Amino acid sequence: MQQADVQWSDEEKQIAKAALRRAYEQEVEALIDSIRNNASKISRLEEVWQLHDFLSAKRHAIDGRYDERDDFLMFTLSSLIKDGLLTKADLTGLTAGTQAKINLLARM
Amino acid sequence: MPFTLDAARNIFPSTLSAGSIPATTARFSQLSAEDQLALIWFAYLEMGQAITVAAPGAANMQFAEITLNKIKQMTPLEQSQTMCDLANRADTEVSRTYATWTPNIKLGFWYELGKLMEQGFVAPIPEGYKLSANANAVLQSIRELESGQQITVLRNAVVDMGFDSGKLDGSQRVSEPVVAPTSIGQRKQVSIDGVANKTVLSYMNNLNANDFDALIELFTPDGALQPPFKKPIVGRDAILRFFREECQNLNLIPERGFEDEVEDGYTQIKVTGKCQTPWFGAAVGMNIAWRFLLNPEGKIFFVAIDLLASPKELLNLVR
Repeated sequence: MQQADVQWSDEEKQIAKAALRRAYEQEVEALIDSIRNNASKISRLEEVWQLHDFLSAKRHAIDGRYDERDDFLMFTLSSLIKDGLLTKADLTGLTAGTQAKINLLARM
Repeated sequence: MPFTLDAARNIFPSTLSAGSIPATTARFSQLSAEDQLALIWFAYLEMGQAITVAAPGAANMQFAEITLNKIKQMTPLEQSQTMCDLANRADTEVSRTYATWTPNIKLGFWYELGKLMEQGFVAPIPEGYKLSANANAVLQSIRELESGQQITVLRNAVVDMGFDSGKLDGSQRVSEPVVAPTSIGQRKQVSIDGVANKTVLSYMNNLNANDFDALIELFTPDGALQPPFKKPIVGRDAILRFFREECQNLNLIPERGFEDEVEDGYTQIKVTGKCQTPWFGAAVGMNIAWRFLLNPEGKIFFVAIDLLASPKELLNLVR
């Protein structure tokens, strides 16, 4: 695994992890809502397996997305911005340099 | 014939098997080769007390010896690459050799590699290696399983490695020499609370004694055996090969069950209990259900072996 060589102050870590938790809660909530809605419309076995495949893919995505270990925070935040689960405003409070690096990574 | 194979597979439909095993195995297979190897290593360090050889000579290692010696002589970089090739199922010489082995030899190979890593003869997982978040999540799921289920997931992980054996010519399969059956005088006889059926008792006793020739005689010529989470194996020749390749030195400990005549003289019998394997110490028993369907002559037309979802299922004997 690739790791970013960045020093985070305790305050920055708190801001970053709070943003991460907000994004996580929003994604989980949206997922549960969409499953509730879509599952009630299932009428064929094929659609059951489609839901199964969708859930497997989602599990892999969510398991992999919210890595809050210090070495991975930079990549976690940038990928959340890239995927639209966080906005630049969520990074307020981080140093200008850190914000710039995250935004740069998000555009890659 | 009142039963088709498909109908037979559905006897005792309320038996709840451990669906978390195929699900976790599928998630494991999505990880990178490095993560797969590191995860197995971390699981081994954490849960390794269960992974001790229960039966001396659990596998005949002569088939793996040449490969192990070859790996010992490689540079550390080549050793790591060889292990990644196995996890990636790459088409390499070692990967092809590995694919011809039985599960017992594969497990023995990794057991020996683990020892060589500890002794410093084989490149270990780099110190400070960090699993990806996905691999961490899979490891966490494995931690939450019961020990019998943990070893099944880890077993699946290494058995599935190597070049796809489906792409190999069948004649290349390497089997361990079959251990001699336990002599009659030394055989332990099982007893099953609620089941006196001779065929079922003979099935357990012959398997425990590695007496596969006597065991296969209990099946009808078109009989089938369904291993956990697998398709049924049909016909005596195929079942006998399965017994020889995958069932040596098992210890079945059936506990309770019940019999039930269904139709046209057929009998269905469900038995629950434990199974210990030679590679994972006697301390770990897998919770198992055997679902038998016997024809009017008392021969096995079908038997399914299920790995149960929880110990509670051991008591589920409803039809």
